[in-house]
Amino acid sequence: MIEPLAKTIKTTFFDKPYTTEFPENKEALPDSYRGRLRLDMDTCISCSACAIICPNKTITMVSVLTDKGDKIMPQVGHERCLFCALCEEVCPPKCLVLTKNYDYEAYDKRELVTRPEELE
Amino acid sequence: MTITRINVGPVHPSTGGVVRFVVDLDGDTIVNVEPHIGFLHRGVEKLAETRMYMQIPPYTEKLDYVAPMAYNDAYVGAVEAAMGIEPSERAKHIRTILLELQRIASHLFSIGLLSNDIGQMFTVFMWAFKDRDMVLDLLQEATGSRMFYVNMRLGGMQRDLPPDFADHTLDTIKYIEKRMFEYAKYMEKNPVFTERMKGVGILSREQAKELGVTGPVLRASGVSYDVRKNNPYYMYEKYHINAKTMQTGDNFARYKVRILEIQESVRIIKLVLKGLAGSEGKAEGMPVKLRSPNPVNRISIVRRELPRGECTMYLVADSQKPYRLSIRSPSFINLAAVSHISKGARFADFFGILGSLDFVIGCVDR
Amino acid sequence: MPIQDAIGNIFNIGYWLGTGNLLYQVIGIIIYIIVVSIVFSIFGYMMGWLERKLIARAQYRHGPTYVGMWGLLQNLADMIKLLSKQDVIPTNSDRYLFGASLPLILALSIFIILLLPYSPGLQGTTLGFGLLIVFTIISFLPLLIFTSGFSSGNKFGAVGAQRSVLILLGYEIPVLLVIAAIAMFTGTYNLNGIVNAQQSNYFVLIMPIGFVIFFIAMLAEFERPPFDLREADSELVAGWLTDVSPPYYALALFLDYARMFLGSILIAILFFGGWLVPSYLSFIPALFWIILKAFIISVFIIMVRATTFRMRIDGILRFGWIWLVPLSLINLIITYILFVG
Repeated sequence: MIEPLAKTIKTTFFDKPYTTEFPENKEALPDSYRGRLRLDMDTCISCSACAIICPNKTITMVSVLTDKGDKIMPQVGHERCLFCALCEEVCPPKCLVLTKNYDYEAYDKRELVTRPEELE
Repeated sequence: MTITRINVGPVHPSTGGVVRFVVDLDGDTIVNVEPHIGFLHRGVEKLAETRMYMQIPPYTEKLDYVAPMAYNDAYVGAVEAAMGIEPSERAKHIRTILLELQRIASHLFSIGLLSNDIGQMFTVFMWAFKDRDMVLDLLQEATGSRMFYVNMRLGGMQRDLPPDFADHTLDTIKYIEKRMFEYAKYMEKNPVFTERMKGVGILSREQAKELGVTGPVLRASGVSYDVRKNNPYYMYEKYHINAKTMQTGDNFARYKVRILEIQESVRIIKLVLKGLAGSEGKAEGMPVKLRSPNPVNRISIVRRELPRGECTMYLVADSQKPYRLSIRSPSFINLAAVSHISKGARFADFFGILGSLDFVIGCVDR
Repeated sequence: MPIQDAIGNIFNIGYWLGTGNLLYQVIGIIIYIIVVSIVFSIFGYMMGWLERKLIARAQYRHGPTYVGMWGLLQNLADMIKLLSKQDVIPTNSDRYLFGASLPLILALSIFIILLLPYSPGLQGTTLGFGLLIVFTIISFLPLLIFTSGFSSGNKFGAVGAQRSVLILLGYEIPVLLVIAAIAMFTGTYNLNGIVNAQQSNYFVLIMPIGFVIFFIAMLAEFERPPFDLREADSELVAGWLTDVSPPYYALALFLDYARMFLGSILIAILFFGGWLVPSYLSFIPALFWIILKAFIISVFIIMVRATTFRMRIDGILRFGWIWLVPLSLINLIITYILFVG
């Protein structure tokens, strides 16, 4: 019983805490981190591969008015997204990418459904 | 001899998830335990019949949310066997390293939760989670996510390991190896721990073999059976695993087997890391496309050793989606042993038994 | 009475009581109660804060940091939250007994705290049998715990109360044998006399076994880990605190720290010499030293909480009867042979 007590006392008074004091300090994320999605609307070719591959049927194609006319582009339901990055992998021009942004919140679930213009 | 019926309800901080136990007590002794499961049933096996091959990993890895990569690997292994694809040498090394890291993380989780159930004021729990956090940081470096990885592709991985991964891994596992000795000493020098765990919840060898339990529960009862040793896959064919067993089969043995297994995993990681630099082949497997290749074999059966036991994936393959995916999950069979083990134990020991069996309800209910 | 004399002796209760004037005697008593209450409240609050910070540091965490500087106001915020909730009394219960038991336990604990000596001037009682009064009241507390649990009308509460009382009764005997050994060595039951008898050696050096027994038995009496069957072990719910409503729960939490204060002060008085220190340190007032000793003992109690596992009820009873009672008898006999006879 003495040894466990000694170890506890040593940890309490002589070891530094391991936890990070969020949100003042944040940890560095690797480059392959899977956060919120971002779409480059100029290079999107409207192939709907992302909508087909998504396991959860999170991505739906909606029509968007661009300067080249009416095109269909992906709309992402961020409240259902699994962040599995399969859509990033099948996208042929690699215009749908996952960023490092994990810090977003909303009061209503429906505010999280992002249209293609907001996916920037 | 009046029997009190107590409901250890679905919402309880000490069970490993949402499961209901109806416990019959005679005074303070348990007479019968009946588990009621199904609160977390998500229909993964049926979902798998309606999705294409590459869309299923996000579902199978959420079955065991403590060690997701193991289920991922089991499913991808089954699909690879159906397609007739063999992973490259370098991919085998990387998969072994990541799977053993996942096993260390899962056993640390289990040890922490077990201490909590016995009544510790969260100290060992927090220490175990601190070490598990270091391992999860390693896995984040390799795959990009701390928990749900989706990083296995047909024939390899999604991306290769970053260049300084080997050094970080060696530092972390040396630290964990040192900590394991400290944990073992801390818990075993505590007289309250040994009094509450030794001789409690005994599962004999014959009963264990009859019930069909696998994993650390089986090895703690003295049966030396490990899928990595009996049916080796990946790098276990080259570097042999010693299946660590203990002879007593009580709660203490089940806890001790997990600590010994962490030490065994550390040894294997060190060996595989040495061989990683010289392995040939590409680490990246086939990228995800809208059409998967056509399966060569109609039925494939794959067995893997998960941190909780043995998992068998039975896949009947159709052209673009599985016709049937059947999963034999280890926690489901281990949970059935609860009623046999806890007959005659005191009620306060019930939570120690649950903690030492270490099941996750996601795996039980699928 | 001359003013300089009064101001120099403001914390010396014997001086105030020694003047024949009733007004000055009452003023002396009120000063004593105020000083001891302030010391006790600050100590209790600091122990609550310190417990959270120390246990967090033992677990590689930070502990409360936001509310107030270093999280000092966190416990206050929790108390305010608990006190602002609705007071619910179940219909099955005996509402007067149920409502009265917890405040009565707190009142009795504070009564004992006011009886103890804190410095040569601040003495609660100069009665010849102060030690006996203190331990009589401590032995009465299990009955109040039992009525509180039993009158809640809940079968879990009753069984939990029974278990708590079983532990407390089982650990009375070692406590009484150890204080019998102390009283035999000192020759008096007067607490002031016991402190003054330690001028050459603290009692912890004279009877180390007695100190260990008393420490463990105090942990059991005040339901600190490893003997806390209160949470989650007595049939899944909180034992005798099952059906208390939030205001009473806040009272029970404060009671935990009040009893820890009581235990630490008793150990400091009985085994560590109270306010006595080597003469080269005596320029710091005596009240500081006894609080410092109680503080260090409380920190040690918190470390024990962070380390141990919770014992099962039969393990607790087995440990008490098989180990502590014979050891306390041996302690009594050794003290008699070596020092008295």
